[in-house]
Amino acid sequence: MTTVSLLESESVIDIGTFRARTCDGLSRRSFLRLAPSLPAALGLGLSTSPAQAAKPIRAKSVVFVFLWGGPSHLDTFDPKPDAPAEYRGPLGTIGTRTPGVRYSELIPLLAQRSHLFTLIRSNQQTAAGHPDGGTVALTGFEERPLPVKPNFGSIIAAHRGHRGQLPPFVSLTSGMLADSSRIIEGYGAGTLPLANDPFLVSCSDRGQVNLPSLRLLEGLSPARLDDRRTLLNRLETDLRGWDTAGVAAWNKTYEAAYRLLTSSEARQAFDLTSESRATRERYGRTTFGQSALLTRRLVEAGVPYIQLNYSRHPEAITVGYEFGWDTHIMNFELLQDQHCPIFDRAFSALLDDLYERGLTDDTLVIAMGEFGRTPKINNRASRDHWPRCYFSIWAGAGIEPGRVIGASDRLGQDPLSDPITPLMVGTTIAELAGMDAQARANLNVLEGGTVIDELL
Amino acid sequence: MSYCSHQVLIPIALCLLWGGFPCGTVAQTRQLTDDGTMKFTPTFFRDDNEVAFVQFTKPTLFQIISLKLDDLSVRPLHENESNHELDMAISPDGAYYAYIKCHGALTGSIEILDANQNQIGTVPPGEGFGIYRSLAFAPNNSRLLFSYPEEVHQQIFSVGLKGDNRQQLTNSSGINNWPCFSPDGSLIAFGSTRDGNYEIYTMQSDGTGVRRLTNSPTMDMRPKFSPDGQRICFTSNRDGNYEIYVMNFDGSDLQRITDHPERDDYATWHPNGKQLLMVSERSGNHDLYFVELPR
Repeated sequence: MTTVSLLESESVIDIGTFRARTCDGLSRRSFLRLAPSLPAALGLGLSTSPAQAAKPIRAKSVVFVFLWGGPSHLDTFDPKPDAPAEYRGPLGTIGTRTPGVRYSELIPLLAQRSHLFTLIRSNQQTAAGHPDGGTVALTGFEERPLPVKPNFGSIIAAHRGHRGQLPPFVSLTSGMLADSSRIIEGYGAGTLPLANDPFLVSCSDRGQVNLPSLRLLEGLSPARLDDRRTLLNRLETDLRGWDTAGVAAWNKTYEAAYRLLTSSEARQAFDLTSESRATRERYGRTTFGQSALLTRRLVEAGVPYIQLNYSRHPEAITVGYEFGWDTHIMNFELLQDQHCPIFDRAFSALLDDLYERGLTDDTLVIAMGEFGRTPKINNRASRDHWPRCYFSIWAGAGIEPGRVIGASDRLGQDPLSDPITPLMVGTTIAELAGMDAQARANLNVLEGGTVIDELL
Repeated sequence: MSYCSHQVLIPIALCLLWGGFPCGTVAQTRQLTDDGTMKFTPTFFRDDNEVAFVQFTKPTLFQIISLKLDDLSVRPLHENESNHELDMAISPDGAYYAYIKCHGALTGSIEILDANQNQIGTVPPGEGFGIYRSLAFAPNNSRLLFSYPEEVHQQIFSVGLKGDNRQQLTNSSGINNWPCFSPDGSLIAFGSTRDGNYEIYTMQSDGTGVRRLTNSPTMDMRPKFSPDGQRICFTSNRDGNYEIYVMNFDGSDLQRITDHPERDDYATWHPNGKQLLMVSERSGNHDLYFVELPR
């Protein structure tokens, strides 16, 4: 696949090739199914003005760090050093900046930053499997009964609408989040217009940004991209031979794509080369680390909702899939060798960076998985799914940091206090992003949801 | 085997330069790679001029990489392999090597080959989910050690080089991992959580005579015997992050080798016994380094 660089100095934004007649036999319509975020990126399909609430906006941007697969709460933010060995596990604990609060020894950098965020230890949800659990975590509702409800990001996108050249809901991932081959149904707009689907952006460990939704411009050099006439001629060539229905719409699409790709605002937001080497290294030379840095840039650019995904897949170790937090085997090895060092560094850097730049005043940062893991170690010396109790991290947007809300029981099996549900998570996000109950009702979203009072 | 010249990572001159880490490292170091990609479990391959390590090449692939020390060229050990490869081990005489090859979801086999990549033996995947870890050859090439989780706990086993005649060497609670033979084959060093958290132990080669060598509230792991069998290097989290330590084979005379706010891990001995090869994280980059041991 050929790629096009938008920057002369270094290839940091690659626009993948889209062929009208691919070796996969993709049709125009199949392309549309593969790239559902394209209309969202381009602001197409929005026929009405976005709802505007009078409520003040505490979170101009929301960063939702999704730890797909379900990290073990006992081995990270909710250790149980006094539990029996088959629950406690092999890891030691360390003190934090919050008096009396200890974390696992695997997250020392975040332990030193416990005063920057508030930890909830009483999250709970109902779906024990990945696809459904992922949907619940991202929408507040299970996949069934239909219709699938909208992702929190789509709700914020619908509320804020499209302003400027950047999409309102960006999901950082190499592709649609999936459990094996099954896509999380709650990935996008759900009951809202498709224009509120996430705009997918991937970022490599080298900071190379790819926009998989814009795989439609073939063979265009940066210089030629600036030549509007060349672009339009190219589009006409590409469209020749297709059925004529919808060609007009495609012209609009290409024009909108042109606007996005030639926008200095968009190019700057996606350009990690403008960051110093020290800043890029601070986040770690990993896909997640560089994606976290890109997240900060998107916050600076005013993107309302960014879903920063740890991985595209939840699986711990499966051929062809990215490594997520689903540690049915190798739980302790993967956490100590890979996941925790990567997350500890990148998320610490993101928090530091946002605070140092004064961005946390009006940015909400959340980190969580779709569930926790079994407190009792399984037959393979690892841990399985556990939706009854897990953790979430909340920072910024005026939330008082340095606290622990809720607690789990002595084995980490159930919350001792009222559980915090995904619907409460979504409702609280919406509230902080300026959507009051009336605004939510106007969109028919987050029905029955309540905010997390202790957090606010 | 063709070497990928474009993958030569750093100027050869760099490998000739020795320096200390900027943050108070006890010992002198020498950087071998500078691509920064996450790396794991380096080991000397065939002779002291080639090492192999596992690299997190991309988000969907762990891969064994060979690094020639004379020109610092690198190449995948198995061209066109698309399955994950983990935990490579090489026999002391370089005649054999073994690694873990993942299959499908959450399973993997042990592949045992000779130096010319001819298959010698296989340990097929176990039933259900589960994967072997931490391979190590006996000095006389009679046995191969590995770790495997069963019945809640994780034990150390050995097999012949055809993958046959499996024997269980530990039978304790918790996780037993990272087995390593002493050069004379009489002892096996390993890590275990049998007493609550990861500590370093030794046992006789038949699994008897277990002796605890370390005692710290955080992780001690990945022990490796020195070429003369007198010392053991290992990784410890006892001082707040992963650092390299060396002690005598009986646990005495503990020495801290590295001292840096970032991670030092996966130490193994150079055949000359005077240096360690390790993976260090520096400014967010994971690279191979030699570290000179204090005299």
